[in-house]
Amino acid sequence: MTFESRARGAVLDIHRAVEVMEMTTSTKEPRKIERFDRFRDRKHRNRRIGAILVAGVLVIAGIVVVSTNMVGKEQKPCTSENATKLTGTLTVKSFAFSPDCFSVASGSTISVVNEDPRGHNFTVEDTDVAVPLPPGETGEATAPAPGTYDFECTIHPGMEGTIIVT
Amino acid sequence: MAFLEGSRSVAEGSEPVAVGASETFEDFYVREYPAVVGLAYALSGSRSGAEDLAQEAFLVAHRDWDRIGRFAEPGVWVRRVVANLSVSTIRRRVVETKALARIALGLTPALPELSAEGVEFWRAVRSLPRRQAQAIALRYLEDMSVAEVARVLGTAEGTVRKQLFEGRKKVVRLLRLEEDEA
Repeated sequence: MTFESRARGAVLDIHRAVEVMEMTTSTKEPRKIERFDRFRDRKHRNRRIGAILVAGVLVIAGIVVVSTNMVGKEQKPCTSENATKLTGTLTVKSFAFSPDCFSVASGSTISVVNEDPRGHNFTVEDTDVAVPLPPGETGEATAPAPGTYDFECTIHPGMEGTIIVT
Repeated sequence: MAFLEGSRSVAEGSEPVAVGASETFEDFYVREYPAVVGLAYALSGSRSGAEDLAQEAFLVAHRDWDRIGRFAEPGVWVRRVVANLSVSTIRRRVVETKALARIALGLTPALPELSAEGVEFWRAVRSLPRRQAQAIALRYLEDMSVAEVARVLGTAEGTVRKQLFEGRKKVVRLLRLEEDEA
């Protein structure tokens, strides 16, 4: 048997199969268009459902990230026991203070270096300490009277920490 | 054959814009659908997914019918889409899984099984590099000329001739057929 005759048989097979398909679904033309319309509507619906699902997953992921961050913070309050003694500088990098829980002696100088390409500030609550930190620059503040203070960058919510002044 | 009726004038180089210029999508769909399903069936080998592959191709045409409908050969265009969809393994699997689920629910019938010889032939064709498989399916299913196959695949006629030659040679070897005289 040659390729040509084998191919002819195989092609006839396909044509017959399509004919049977047409007879079983419907040989009437309007029905066929209806089937296409249903397919199209299903496609569009699936796409909408897909978009809604993706949006839903993103929202849930966002909630999880935010809540784990909150839980993380609540679980370890900054006390004189776990505060690190600030020896070098306080660093601002990637929108965070490091360390964010430290102790210093009252009246000593706190150097804050901003390693971000964005401007920040070092503001200690309930004190006069408010040091602007342009990108790449270092600012200085004097540690206030003994006590526990929260500090933050007032430009960026979430950039915060605690100082134990001894 | 539907394809040939729709595009013969173009193949012969006359009235290139007349075909399809004022045709509605419905007419186009009704006329071309069977041939396009056949192409999808041969190239994907999927009894359950071939119709979805064909409808997918028409969906793309439908979405952009204002533009595609004015093409000289929307039939060529939809065949190119379905030929490419059908040889994409991932696309075929996705479509087939969905279709099988619908069949399980009794919503859609599958295409009928081919004869053992037909199954064997198309399986051999599908084992070829995809361009060769597409060229053979187009050439034989609708009795297209080399020029027509080249237009559907968007390649040069010489390339199609080479793909047909290579593809045929390999199928002959796979199925242990006699060599053709030419």
